[in-house]
Amino acid sequence: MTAPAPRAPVSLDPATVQAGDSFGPVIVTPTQTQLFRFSAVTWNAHRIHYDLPYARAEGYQGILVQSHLHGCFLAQAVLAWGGPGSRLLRFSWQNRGVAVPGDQLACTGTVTDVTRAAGRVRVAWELEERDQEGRLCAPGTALLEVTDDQRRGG
Amino acid sequence: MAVSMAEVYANTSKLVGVVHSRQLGRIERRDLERFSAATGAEVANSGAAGPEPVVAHPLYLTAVLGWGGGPANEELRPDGTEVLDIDAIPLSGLRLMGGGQDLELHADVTEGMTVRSEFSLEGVEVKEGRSGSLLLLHVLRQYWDDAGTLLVTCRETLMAR
Repeated sequence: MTAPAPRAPVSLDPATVQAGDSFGPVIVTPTQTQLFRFSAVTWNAHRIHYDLPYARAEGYQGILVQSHLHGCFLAQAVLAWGGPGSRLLRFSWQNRGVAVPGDQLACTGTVTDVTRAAGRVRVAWELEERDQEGRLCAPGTALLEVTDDQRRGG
Repeated sequence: MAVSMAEVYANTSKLVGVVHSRQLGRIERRDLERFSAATGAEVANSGAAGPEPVVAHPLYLTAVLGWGGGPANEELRPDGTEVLDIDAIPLSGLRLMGGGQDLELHADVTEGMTVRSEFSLEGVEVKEGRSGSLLLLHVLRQYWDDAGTLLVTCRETLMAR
C-alpha cells in the first residue's frame, strides 16, 4: 500500500471555511514513553501497551497505541485548527487499525458542513488518522464551535 | 464449562437498561495537566497560579479507566487489566474489545468538579464475523457534576468473542 499523498497544510479561517475544505496532515509520532505516560494517567495497566514480549505473543509487532490515544490525536488535530478557545461539541472515532511507537500517524480533516450564527461558527468534520503506509488507523467525526470572542482571545 | 454465545446473549440481554452508578471523585488540576502532557495537547489555562480553572481535555473523562485506589497487583488479570464497570455484564470469559467512542460534550469539565457516572447497556446483538460469532454490546455512559449538570454522553460498541 502506498503512503498517503501529502496534502499541503491549509490555513482556513473559521469566518470563510466551507464544505470541502481540508486541513493536514498533522503528523504525530507516538513514542514508548508517551504510551507509558498515557497508560499511567488513565490507570490502564493492560500489558499490551508496555510489555513487548506480551504484545508479540499476542501477534503484534510492538506495544500498541491505546485506543483513546488515537482519539486524542484526532481531537487535538481539529482543535489545533480551531485555535485557542475552540470547543468540541461532538466527537467520535473508531479504531480500525493498530499502531506502534515510531509509526508516523497523519491526521487529516475535511469539512462536511458549516453553520454560521451571530458570533459563532460550527464546523462539522470528517477526520482520518493513517499510518505511514496509508493504512487507516482511525476514522472520526467532529463538530467544532468557534466563537468570535474566542477568536479574538476574549 | 463452555457457555454458548446464545446463553451469554440471553444473560446480557436481561441487563439492558439496568443503570450502574459510581462516584468518580474530585477532578484534580494535576491530573488534567498530566493527561494533556501525556497526549501532547496544549494545556489550557495552565499558569501555575492562574485565576481560571483548568479545563479538561475533551477525552479525559471517558479515557480514564480507574478512578479509585485500584486493586492489589495480584488481583489484576494475567493481561494486567482490572475489573471495571463493564464487568457487571456476565460475559462468561469472552474477550472484550473496544472500538472507539461517540461523545456529546455538553459542558466543560474543569478542575475542582466532583463527578459521578452512570453506565448501562442500551442493547445487545449477536453478529456473525469472519472468525465466528461476535457479541456486540451497545454501552451508554453519562457523566454529571455534583450540581446535576450533564457533562458528557458517551456511546460505544464493545465487541466480545
